[in-house]
Amino acid sequence: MCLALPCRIVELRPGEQALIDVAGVGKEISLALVEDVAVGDYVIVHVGYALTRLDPQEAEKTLALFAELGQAALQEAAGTVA
Amino acid sequence: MEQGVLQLTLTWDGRRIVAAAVASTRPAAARALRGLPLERALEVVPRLFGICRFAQEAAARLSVCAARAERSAVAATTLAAALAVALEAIGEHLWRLLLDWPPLCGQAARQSEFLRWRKQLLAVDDAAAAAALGGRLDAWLDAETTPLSEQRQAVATVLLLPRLSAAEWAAQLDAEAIAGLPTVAGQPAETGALARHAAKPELAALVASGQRTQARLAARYADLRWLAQALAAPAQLSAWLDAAAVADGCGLARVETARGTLLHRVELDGDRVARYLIVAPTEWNFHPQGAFVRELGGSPARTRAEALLAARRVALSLDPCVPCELAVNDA
Repeated sequence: MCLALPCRIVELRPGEQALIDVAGVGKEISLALVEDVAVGDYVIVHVGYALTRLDPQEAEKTLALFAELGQAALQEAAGTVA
Repeated sequence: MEQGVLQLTLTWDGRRIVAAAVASTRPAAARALRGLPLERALEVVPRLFGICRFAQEAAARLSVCAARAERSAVAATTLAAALAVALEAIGEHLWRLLLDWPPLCGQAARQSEFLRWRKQLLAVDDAAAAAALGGRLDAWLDAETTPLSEQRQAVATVLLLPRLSAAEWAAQLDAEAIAGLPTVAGQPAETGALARHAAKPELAALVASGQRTQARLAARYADLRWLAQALAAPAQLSAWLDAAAVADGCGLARVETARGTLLHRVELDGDRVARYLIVAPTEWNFHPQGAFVRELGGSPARTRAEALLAARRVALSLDPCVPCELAVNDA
């Protein structure tokens, strides 16, 4: 199942691409499906596309939830971002 | 190896794919719900899931209502969730058909078209807007033709999952054994749009001739057509969700998604979750003896690239909800 791990935008890159931070690991993704995303925003990512932008409070809540659920859930979620 | 990713491995001897194998990690998400207060669990589920969150949320609410034997709440939840579940499924189908399939058929991804649909889907806020969108989608489908994925015939494959109600699933489902490795009557089975629409003559003909990949692709269009028309007659959408009590304090919900049947089963301990089980479509379709493995074994492939392309097409037709990693080993 695809888990919804909020990922922080680290750097905007040409061609609607961005570098994100996935549980401490950098990955390049496409921003084609979201609008007005800036460095520091959190997004939900699915197979290489940012799907939705989260407001920072929501993102913090969800990150806290994954932390609470433990390392296994966090690793699983990080895997689904690929 | 990362968790939450399907590892698909082909063994190739230079002429054909001699074997295919699937390794995946068992989802940790449902286990993480154990012991949570019910209200917290219902808040957590939609946060955990990315792409099928409305279906997951509906399944969680329905299974809890069924476990508490709240019949009127089951009916109200079904009614309230059906539209969001349908819109989510339409978005998933369009993603596959417009972004993922074209590159595997030698065409460019139709990104701007997908974006236009996605904006329209996100803008739907009431039944009238849903009906209008359904009308536009129905008209758009008239002008679409199913791309030809390939004419390869699968030598062996699995049964299509029969449509069972939540009450029937409640009688079938063995809580721990089925998680991760679900079967019906001891056999792996395929879930998804093809299983839902297999009775349609044009799809039955493709299935009968062994063209499963093409049948799945055509079935996505059939599913989209059904969903587009159901948006204008929302009572039909309730066929996509139901729930039943398994026992006292134990409920099961079935929600259809673009990828197939999603099942949630909850056992309550007072107002807490004692056990939680999620059976997701990917666990059927990427079962270690499931459709992916059976259909690719024995497929001709003259080059490594051909083997990879064949595997990508079969994998996409079965539509995993997590990313796949494909590897080819020499026999």
